[in-house]
Amino acid sequence: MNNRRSELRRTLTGVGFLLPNILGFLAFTLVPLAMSFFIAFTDWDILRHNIFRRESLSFVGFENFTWLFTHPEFWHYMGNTFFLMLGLPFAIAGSLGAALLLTRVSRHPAALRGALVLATLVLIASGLVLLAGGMAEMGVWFIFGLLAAGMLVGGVLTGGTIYRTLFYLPHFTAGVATFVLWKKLYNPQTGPINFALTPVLEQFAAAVQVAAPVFAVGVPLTAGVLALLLAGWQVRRLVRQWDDAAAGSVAVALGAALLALPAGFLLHWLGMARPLATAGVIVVATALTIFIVRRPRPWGPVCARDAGVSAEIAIGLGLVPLLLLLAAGVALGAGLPAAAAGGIQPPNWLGDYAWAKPAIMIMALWAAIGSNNMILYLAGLSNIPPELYEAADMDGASSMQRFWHITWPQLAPVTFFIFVMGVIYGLQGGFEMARIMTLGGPAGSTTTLSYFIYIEGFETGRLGYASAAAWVLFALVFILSLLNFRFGNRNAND
Amino acid sequence: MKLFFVACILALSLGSAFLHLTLPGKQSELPVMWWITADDHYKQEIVTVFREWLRDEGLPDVDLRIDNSNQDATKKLVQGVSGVGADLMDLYNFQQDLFPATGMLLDVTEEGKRLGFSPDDTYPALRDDITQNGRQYSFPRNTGSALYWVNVGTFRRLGLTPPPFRWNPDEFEALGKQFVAAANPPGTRQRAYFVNVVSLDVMRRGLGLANFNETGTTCTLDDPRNAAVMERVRKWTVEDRLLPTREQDAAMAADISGSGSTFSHFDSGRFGLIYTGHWAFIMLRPRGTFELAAAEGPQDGFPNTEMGGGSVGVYAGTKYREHAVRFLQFLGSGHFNRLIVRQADSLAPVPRYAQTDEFLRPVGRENEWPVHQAFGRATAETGITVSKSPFVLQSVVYRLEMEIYESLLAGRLTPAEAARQMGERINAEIQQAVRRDPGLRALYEERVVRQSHIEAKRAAGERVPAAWVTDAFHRTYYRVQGWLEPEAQP
Amino acid sequence: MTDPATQAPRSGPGLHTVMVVLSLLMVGPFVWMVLTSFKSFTEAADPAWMPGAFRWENYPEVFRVIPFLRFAANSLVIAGWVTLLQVLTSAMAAYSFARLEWPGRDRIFFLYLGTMMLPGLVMLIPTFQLMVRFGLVDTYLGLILPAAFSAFGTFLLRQFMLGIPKALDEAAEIDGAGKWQIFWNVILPLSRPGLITLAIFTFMGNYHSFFWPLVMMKTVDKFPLPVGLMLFDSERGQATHLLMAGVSMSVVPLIIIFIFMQRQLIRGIQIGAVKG
Repeated sequence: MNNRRSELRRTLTGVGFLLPNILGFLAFTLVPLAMSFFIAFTDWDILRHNIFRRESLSFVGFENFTWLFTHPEFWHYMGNTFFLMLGLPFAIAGSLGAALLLTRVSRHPAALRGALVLATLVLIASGLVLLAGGMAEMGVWFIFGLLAAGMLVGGVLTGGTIYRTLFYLPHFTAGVATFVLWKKLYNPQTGPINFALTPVLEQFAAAVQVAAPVFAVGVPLTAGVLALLLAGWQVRRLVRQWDDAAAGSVAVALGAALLALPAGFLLHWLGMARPLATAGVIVVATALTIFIVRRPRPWGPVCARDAGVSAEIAIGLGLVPLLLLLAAGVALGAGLPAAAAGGIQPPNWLGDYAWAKPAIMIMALWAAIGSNNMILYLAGLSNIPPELYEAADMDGASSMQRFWHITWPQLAPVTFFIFVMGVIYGLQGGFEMARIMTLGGPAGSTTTLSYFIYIEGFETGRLGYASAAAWVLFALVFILSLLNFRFGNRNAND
Repeated sequence: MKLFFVACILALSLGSAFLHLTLPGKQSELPVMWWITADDHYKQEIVTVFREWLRDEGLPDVDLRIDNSNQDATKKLVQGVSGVGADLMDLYNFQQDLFPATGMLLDVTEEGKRLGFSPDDTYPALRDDITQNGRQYSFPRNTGSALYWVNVGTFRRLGLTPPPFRWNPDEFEALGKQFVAAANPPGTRQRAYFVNVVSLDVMRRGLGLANFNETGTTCTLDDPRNAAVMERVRKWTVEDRLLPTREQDAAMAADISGSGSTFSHFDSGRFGLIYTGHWAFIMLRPRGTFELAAAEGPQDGFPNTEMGGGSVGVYAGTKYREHAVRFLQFLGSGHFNRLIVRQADSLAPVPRYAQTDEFLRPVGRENEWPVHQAFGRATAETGITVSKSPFVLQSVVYRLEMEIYESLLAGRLTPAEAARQMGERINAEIQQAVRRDPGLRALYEERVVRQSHIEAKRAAGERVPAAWVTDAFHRTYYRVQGWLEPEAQP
Repeated sequence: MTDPATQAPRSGPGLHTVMVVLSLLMVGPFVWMVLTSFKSFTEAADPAWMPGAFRWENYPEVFRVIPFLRFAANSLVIAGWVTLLQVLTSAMAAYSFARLEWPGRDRIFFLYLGTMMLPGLVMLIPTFQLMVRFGLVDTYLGLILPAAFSAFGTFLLRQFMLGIPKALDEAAEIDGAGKWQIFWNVILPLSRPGLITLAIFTFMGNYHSFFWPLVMMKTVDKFPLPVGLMLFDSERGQATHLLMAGVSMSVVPLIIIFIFMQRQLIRGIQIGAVKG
């Protein structure tokens, strides 16, 4: 009896502390949520259902959803949303890289004299440039020189503080200011990016024409060799993972398939029909999987079939775009001199169907590297017990080994958290960007699901469709997060 | 810690109280009315003249204030339907069919007739912009057709003859190629373009094709004529490079005032022609004195120009209905129309003011005369507003058209596919809207029947009663072709 | 010499060079922004980086054209309230989830965590309808309340509080302290770095929020900074140079906060496995 009383009391105390938060949460999350769920099954249209026109709402069942699913543009927008998410692994890697570099910087008063000398040299050099070229032409180089000198001295004096602040700078202008800024930067006529690129590309085009054969052969060759090296590294990795029982057969098949995918694109770009190239991918992936899996493990199968899947996904997300880039080099390199004959134009960034998404991803990368993710990683790094590194040093581990065997696994919970949050926000993102930078164009290539929801809900006023689309988006986020928890959390907790 | 939190709460409370107390009140003995528009000296002048007019007419004074901070289109819509709109609102483009449809604008049909700002008091071509289903919801503030502005100096410098007022696509293409070749030194990146944009609508209508059929029941953009027009403009854009890709078109669409780089490019000769309305004078006059001329959009066959402009509507939730309606009456008055003529911010809403010497031949601005005359002529004679269907919003049509046309430009669709998709997707929207809204369904069914009657009559070579043809383009087209029954004299 | 944290070799000139180059890349767009803020109206549409002459008068011009200080004050007060409310309510909830034992606690926590997955957009439209119903459109409260309660903050602080040794509250309990006293006098002071971290994240996030205030606010004197600054890039015309000047100024308070708080910020984050 007493026991139950105390349990009740504990529950009441626990819930009591929750109450302020939960009440606000109920009022401003749960109620709107329930409303939006209800709206998704009605024909609510602010044209007909508002304070001036009070027509009665009717339930339409799943009609809003079928309307979405039967419209090809909805799938196009969903594809865009996922495509833009491909930047996420790079952003995470960038944040981690930045954090790793930042932890290595420490206050270093002994080096002050050297830094001052270097800074003075930089200043003198940029001053000379300014004198030679004049303020209008060279002023900007002088400013960058000034900044560099200042940063150097500041960096040596303060340790990481100044770099940390500068890396975090994009976060200070987050949101609309970033979008307006980059819209101006990307403007093909008046933006500074193309202003800077034009002379470089003209020089490059000239160089290509002078040494046409070198480029025609060299570019595809280099790209091909690099691609083969990368692929070889991944195959070796897969073999080793299998042998170490760190990867199950599903993971190996996935890794092989991701590896074969760029090859398929290459075949297609070189003129092979789509179905044939697809068949090629399947054959290569299957052969590779069979080759790896058929080899007996030194100590028999000791891991689940789907072990290591998340690692393959993570690696693949970085590897596939790289390989695609190299494949493009192989496929298009030979045509480079011909293309350069007419001069190489800088991209039309936000106005070009092919460039708009990469342009957005570059901006997002810039904004994401030094963001809260970097702070989370910095915190994670400072929480790693130093004894782990000391032990590794005793074993004579290389810095690569230290990273892969200590830092990376120790940071796994942070990475997991960042990844989950990145997926959640990434899938919802893009509407303020599109609203300000591209209006979803050209040809809908930067219309994400969230911008579509915005258009339907706030411009066209069809709240029913907008809510239905929002719930589809929620389902996607939910499924992806579940998958994350299923595959990622296990790693994070190991 | 406790102290810190208390200090925070105290500081924030003080801050909030301060902010709340320093909110400027609406101290005014007069009724305060807000007008959502741009805050520039043109609009401020309008406000001043409005109050002078009230005095001259012996009407009670009001304190009309400009609200320039709520012009965002989304915001106007969302706040408007929620009951917190401003008393008077500028309406542009899509808003002219979207806002009345929500019921947030006051029906001013009766007042318009009584006070002299009915659709009969402005250009007949504007009827579709200010009415919906036969009811009036706004009155034009500034109007006019869009034409190409010709910077004659640029052509003279390049040793080229400026374009004629009326020309067909072949002439356009020939001159355009000469211009681009002459304006861009060989071997360098192209910096100068012939025009900033080409109107697909004008070219389609030249061939007798509008966005919708005579009754607005079907989108007719799946017509082969549309495919041909789009292909031609695509070639001008991608192959001949007479105009830039629509990279900034999207940006321009968000920037109605158009104060972007277009005018400085016109000024510097990087655009030979720019396609815009008469209001561009307010952008160009501060830039100096140009030798100017004007030209229609290129077209075969039926001469037409794109007509439009801003209008002002009264918010249905206004507290000052009487006063707000007076503002629309003011827009039809001599006070206002003479002011607009002087400002050269588009044509005055009342047509006869475009026939005055003040408009056509302003003293000391001889370089502008050809342009004023061209705009006056185009607006009165060939101006037609965009085809609208009561069954689908203009914003939806525009978005789909833009997206599909850009897919064509990007090489992802053939012209025939693009035309077919435009028709299919816009018609799907019509079907969906009709299925959902019982009110629309009744109208739709009635119109479908009428459409079949029109088609039967046309197939038999007979004339059609004028009241049957509701589409803005077809109404004019039928009249000019002589396909309408003579109107019964009352 | 090795670094105590990562046992990595200490920074040398090479590392500093890398850092400076990277910093310049990150700063590049800002340099352009600040330079543009000194341009004239016509120069702002010009691709060259440098203004013809530095027009310092652009900055006073910003204050003349828009009530910049008013916008800034609005932003600070709104973001301040949001931060305060979020830190307090999240800390209480986190305390309950991390330190109190009660049946069903973990299940509720996971449910709660799940709400982070809900796209904010799903709720945007109904929340606006709610605000209309409550009469909160065009009020400061309408901006503060919906932002003041977050699952993210609860999660962040719970992870931090899990790292505080249990012995501390047990000792306090033996001394006869109630749960509330333990929370106020023991846990909250020990969670200082966590609270500061959450405060900074929340403050910065809210300082930048744009779309919600855009549709919610009508009176120009109640606009927060991002909405107010966008008046320079709207239907009423683009004054790029003034916009850039305004944005440059709006960044200053954040930079100051960050410079002073960054060590606390990093100490305040503990992300263990989500199972906890």
